Amino acid sequence: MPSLTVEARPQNLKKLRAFVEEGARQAGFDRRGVYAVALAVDEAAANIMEHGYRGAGGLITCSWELHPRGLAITLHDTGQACDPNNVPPPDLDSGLFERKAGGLGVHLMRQMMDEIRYRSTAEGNFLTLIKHRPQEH
Amino acid sequence: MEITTKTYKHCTVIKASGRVDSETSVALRNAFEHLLDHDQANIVFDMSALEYMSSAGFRVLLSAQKTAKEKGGEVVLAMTPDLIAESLELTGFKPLFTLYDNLTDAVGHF
Repeated sequence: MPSLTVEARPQNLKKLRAFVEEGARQAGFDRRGVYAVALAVDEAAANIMEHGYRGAGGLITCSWELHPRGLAITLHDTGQACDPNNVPPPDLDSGLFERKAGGLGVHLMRQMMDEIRYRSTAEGNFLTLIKHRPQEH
Repeated sequence: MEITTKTYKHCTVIKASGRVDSETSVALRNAFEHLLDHDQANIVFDMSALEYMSSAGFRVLLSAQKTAKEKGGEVVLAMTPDLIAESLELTGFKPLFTLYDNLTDAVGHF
């Protein structure tokens, strides 16, 4: 299973995106699917950097494997547990001045993926993102 | 990411190329804030050379639009690439911005 470990710094988001884009291409995703995979992983990793490690740094290990219906990506970190499934839905429709920007990243991640699994263990946190190929929903 | 700005008679165009994420959004935010701090609140954001934008970029746009409107101006978007436009739609941002499919019409907004 290909894997990549990086320091939890925003400068490494592009490496993580390039790494999972390769997995998405191997899984047979088209341009839109590859973009969706990169965006979901970027949002997930940015959240780990900001909320999991609280900007203090640490390591993120990203791995991907071909899944019978598409691609499965796992992000591992040892920061504070942050289950994206506990993040409330964002404000999508209030007016400009009332609009809050929180939760947009997790929302995009959910929209881009078919399944999101989260486990927090003694070995750290494991976030698994699964995306199906379009014809296999 | 590269950012250029060009001032017209009634507005300023900010053009960014490449990818906007949590790292590069800082430079984009600075570009918007620099204009807004100098009361140049009529802004066209030329997105034609952008390949990618995460929610970090959307937060910059939301904040810039709030400040621009408080100052009597506006941020309009020009030539938003299709996949970024889809994210704008999914985040409910489309109603907050006027979108143009060419720069001439976007500049003509002001």
